[in-house]
Amino acid sequence: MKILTCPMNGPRNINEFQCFGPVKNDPDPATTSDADWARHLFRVDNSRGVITEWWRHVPSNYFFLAERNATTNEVIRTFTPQDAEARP
Amino acid sequence: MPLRLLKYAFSRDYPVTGDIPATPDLKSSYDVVIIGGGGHGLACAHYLSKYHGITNVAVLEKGYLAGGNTARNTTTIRSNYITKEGIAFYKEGVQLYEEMSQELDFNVMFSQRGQLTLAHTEATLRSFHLRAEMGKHAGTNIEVVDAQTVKDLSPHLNMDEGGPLEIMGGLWHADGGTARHDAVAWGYAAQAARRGVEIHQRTEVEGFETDQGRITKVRTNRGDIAAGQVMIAVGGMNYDMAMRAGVELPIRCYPLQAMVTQPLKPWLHTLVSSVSLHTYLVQSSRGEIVIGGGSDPYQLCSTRSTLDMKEHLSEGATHLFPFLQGVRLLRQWAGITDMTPDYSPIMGASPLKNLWLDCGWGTWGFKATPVAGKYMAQTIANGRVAPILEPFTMERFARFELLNEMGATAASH
Amino acid sequence: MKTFPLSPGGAAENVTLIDNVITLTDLTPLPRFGLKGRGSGAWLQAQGRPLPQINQIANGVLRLGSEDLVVVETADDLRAAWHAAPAPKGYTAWREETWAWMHLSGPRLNDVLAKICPVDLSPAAFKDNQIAQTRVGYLEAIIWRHTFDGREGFSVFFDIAATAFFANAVATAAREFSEG
Ligand SMILES: Cc1cc2nc3c(=O)[nH]c(=O)nc-3n(C[C@H](O)[C@H](O)[C@H](O)COP(=O)(O)OP(=O)(O)OC[C@H]3O[C@@H](n4cnc5c(N)ncnc54)[C@H](O)[C@@H]3O)c2cc1C
Repeated sequence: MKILTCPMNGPRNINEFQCFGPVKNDPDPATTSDADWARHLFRVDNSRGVITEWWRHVPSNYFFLAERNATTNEVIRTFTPQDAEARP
Repeated sequence: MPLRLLKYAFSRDYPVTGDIPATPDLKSSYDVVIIGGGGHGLACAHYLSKYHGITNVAVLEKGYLAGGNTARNTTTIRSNYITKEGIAFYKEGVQLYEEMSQELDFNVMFSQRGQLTLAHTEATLRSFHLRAEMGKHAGTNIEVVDAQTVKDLSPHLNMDEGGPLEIMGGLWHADGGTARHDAVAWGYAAQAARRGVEIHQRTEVEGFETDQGRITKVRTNRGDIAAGQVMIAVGGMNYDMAMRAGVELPIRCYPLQAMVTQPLKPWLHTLVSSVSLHTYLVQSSRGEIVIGGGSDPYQLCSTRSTLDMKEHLSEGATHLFPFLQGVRLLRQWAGITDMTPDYSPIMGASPLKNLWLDCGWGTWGFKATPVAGKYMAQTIANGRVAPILEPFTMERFARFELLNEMGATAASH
Repeated sequence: MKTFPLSPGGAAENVTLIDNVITLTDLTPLPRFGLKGRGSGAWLQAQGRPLPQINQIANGVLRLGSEDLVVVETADDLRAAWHAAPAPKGYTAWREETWAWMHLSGPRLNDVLAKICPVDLSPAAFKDNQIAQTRVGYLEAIIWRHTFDGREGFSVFFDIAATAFFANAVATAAREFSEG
């Protein structure tokens, strides 16, 4: 089985995890047009290169981020939202 | 057709007819360019040439004919969806399969043996009642059946009485069936070619030139061509292809896997699908048990198959039919499916005036091959989206008018 | 031993727990107190309960996340103190209501666990004070080393609604070691 490394729980079988899809930006519902809001809801990064996704380790309900190549399925790194903010 | 078969049987030399002409040179322009030589592209070419008199058509296929998802699919044909728009559309799809061998003068081996979807929980059974009532209202053959009827329909099933996966009942869809996927694509291709449609294999579309909201050129590895109208039907590549024309589709790619066992004597007479086990089975005309299930759990543009899925499908199949333990697997494979947020396809117009979409077919598009071909051809010929396709256009997302077929699609194709 | 009566006539009623090569003991009735959310760690520390590292257990405190804690010893007076305390103090996570608590021991414990839990729980790999949040018997679960009633073994928390399922999964996994 493929192994994913949870920043909190360490390396685990991938079936302990749930993928929440590529990270989206957070538009302000008050100022976003209907068309842009629809795009925000329904359009997801489907590029074939490296995508950054939300994942959840289900038994501990811990959410974190992963960079994964959407073609080779190689996981480049997993990290916490705090790590992401700390990077320039 | 029967006569022709008979004549062939009595002929001396069993003549081989080359149904599909060798790829010709590319012309500089066509009235219609269809990108993708899968079932959908070829069906559209057939309907354009036969019913709309449009024959200056090129089908561009990067590999060999119908080698994409058409070749990989498990050929479930059914109309037991839940939205009224979906049921109406897929119902006509099933009807067109009933007539297809006649229409194409080609035996597509349509076998309408019914689909049985199993409920292992009360909640599933309740959702089946809703689907059955929606289906009956639209005039399809569908009903909720009790456990005894399930047993009668498929006597080999492990009912798991008293166990955690006890079968409480089922959704019996007598209209459901299967057909031979290569024959469907091949039949459409042969018919279209006979009327003058050019089929270009090993012709890859690399990009587009656009001007004032129209596609002016289609760029291929064999040169550029001008096109009056362009249709995209490239299966798992639909998102990328539309992006090349600057059109952004709400599509994500997920692998869908399937596998087959060694051939067995005929014993499985219906299509059987379990919602809770995410497993469905059908016996092919060669005797192989074709086993499929849900998509991979996260997006990926790869046709690799996995041990996890093999184990999962084997577990589901041997739970339902314990005597399959010990039967050997012959092959396992995957296709890249172009999934939409609501599990309904995206058909019709695009933001470019002469670009038409036949996309977002995800894990369920084989059954729609004839009906999508018919109405996409009508749409392209008239320059206006056919009424039956209107609910499926990409604007539905901007209008928040989704056609949610997730429950009727996820486990049973 | 019988399982904690969940609801009369429910799936777990009258489920017998395996007691041969492996022994399952239902500890669900024992007290425990779970706190979650901002302020829970600080409040617990102020009660004189030092916090272990995440995914460790010390002095009866399991730390499941930075602000996700379960106290498994002398929980009752703690609960009363928590209710009386002013915020911020986190919120109660209802761990005594939503979780079953089973203890596993017995001669074939390691063999059975190797089948039903993907984490290596051998003494060399899994220290005495460690917690694994993982899967046990196909269920999301929390497992740690625990000697109960003089029996060395492991304790497991999991969704209480899956009590019968868990008992069955453990018994099924143990079967190959008890036959033959
Ligand atoms: C494992 C599996 C099981 C399935 N089971 C079912 C089922 O039981 N029932 C059902 O209804 N549906 C099923 N489906 C879905 C179904 O296979 C598809 O929706 C359907 O075949 C789509 O047909 P298509 O002609 O649009 O695409 P495809 O058959 O994929 O054809 C697209 C073609 O476009 C070509 N192409 C790609 N890029 C380019 C390019 N740049 N230039 C030119 N050509 C290009 C490809 O080579 C390909 O031949 C299944 C799919 C999979 C993967």
